[in-house]
Amino acid sequence: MVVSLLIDAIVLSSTFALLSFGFTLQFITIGTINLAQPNIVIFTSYFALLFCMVGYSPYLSIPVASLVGGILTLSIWKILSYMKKRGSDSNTLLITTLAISLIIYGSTNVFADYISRTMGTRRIFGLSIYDFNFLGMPGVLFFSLISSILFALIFHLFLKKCKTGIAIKAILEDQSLAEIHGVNTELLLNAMWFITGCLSGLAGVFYSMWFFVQPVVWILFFVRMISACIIGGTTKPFGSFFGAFIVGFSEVLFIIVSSNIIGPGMAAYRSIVPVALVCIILFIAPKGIIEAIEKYRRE
Amino acid sequence: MLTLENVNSGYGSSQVLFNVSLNVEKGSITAVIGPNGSGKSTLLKTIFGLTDIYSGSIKLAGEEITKKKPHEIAKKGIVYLSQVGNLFQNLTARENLIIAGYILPKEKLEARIKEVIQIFPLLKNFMERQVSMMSGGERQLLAIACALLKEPSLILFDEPTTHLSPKFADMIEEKIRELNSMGITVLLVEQDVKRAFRISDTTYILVAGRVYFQGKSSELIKHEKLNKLFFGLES
Repeated sequence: MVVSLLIDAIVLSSTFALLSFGFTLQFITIGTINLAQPNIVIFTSYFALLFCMVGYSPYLSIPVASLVGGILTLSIWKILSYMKKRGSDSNTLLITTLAISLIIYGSTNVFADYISRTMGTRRIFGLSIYDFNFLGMPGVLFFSLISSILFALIFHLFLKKCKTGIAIKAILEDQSLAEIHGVNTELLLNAMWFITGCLSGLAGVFYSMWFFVQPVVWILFFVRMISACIIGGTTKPFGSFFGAFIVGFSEVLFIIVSSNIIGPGMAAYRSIVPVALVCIILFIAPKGIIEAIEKYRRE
Repeated sequence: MLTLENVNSGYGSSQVLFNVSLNVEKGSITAVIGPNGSGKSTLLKTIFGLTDIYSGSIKLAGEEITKKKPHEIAKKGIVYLSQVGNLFQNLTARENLIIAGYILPKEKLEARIKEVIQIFPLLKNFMERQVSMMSGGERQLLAIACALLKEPSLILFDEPTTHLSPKFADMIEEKIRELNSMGITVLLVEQDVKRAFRISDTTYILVAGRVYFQGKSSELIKHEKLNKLFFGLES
């Protein structure tokens, strides 16, 4: 059971690390949370199911799922940036993302119904049986962990060493100043949102390969994503990356400890963990863990 | 070099500039002065495409730049140094210089950074320091260094000496003169009227978004009535 829970923790943390990173970048650029992102993850995970149903490995669905995630997210960004230019405030943008989220949720239901009727699957699915094993462990364990760490490393080097990466940091701090210096902020923000969408598609495929998926689980995604974001720091993309690992491993620790003390039924309450963590973090480090560490180092 | 003809601009539905016409001669220093809220900063922002232009025309060396995007205008060799916040606080001095020279090819950027450090040797001491940890004077020096990096033909300064100690303000004034002597045209918005008259060749007085007066700075400083009326200066 412990091994299974550890795989749970790693796959969950890695998946949410990919998601939360993009979620935080989006939050910094529009000044509000993108409620549609969790639904994009669920929507794209159905592409993995589709690939399995037609006899392909779910891993082959990654390019398609990523592309769909990227295009959807880019479209959301274009709508939000247009509204922002027209003077919409962050509350209006938030409501817009909620509306888009519900549209994607509806579309996911239609997609799920279509696949289940035409291919004889269930709306609730998990693809772990289609995964391969390596050293007695599921392939998704390695793929998700390596992908998230690799992405974090590449992005870190990109922001540190590359002129375009430095320009992204500049845009995140002050978009109009970056524009004054000749940075094509629109192009870079388009690219950034597209990449965050691709990561959502990737996360959707990984998630469905270990956990069960159904359209309604988007709300759990949302809770975990925002928790990782707040725990790490809403202005620190790499903070949310660590926040995701804290959330994932804390959930597993909660299950192990509470199951031993109270009983196995406690696993059903695992979603309490991210919320509890957020409460604690907001109390002791309101700006997130990374900011608290930086402050400690400065002092 | 830079010509504005009957420019009307503002922010959304609130108009700030009304039929502003202005001419900046190549190689000159042109100052824009006026009371608070007269639209001086908006004028510079309008030139750089940061406001809504309702009508009128802005030309740089004969080329229309009206309604062009700021990153496109930046490529034309204009640099805009805003009143505050012209540096990225969370980036280091080096990263700020890299962004300032973003439009340059990589090899040229490296060479230009070295050249700029030679002009401002003080920069060498805080290249890896985050801007938020630097003093006001150091930041202003870095801002000017950033402006210089692109080898601009025209620099728009928005109150470059505001909030600076007299020592640093004089140093900045000296640097502006040096830049001008290097052939760079300067359009300067300045609160300090005496300094503006002293440094510039031509001065425009902006009142309530309209050009109220224009002339040679050396003549304007002697204009007793104008100085008393607007600036409380005795000739």
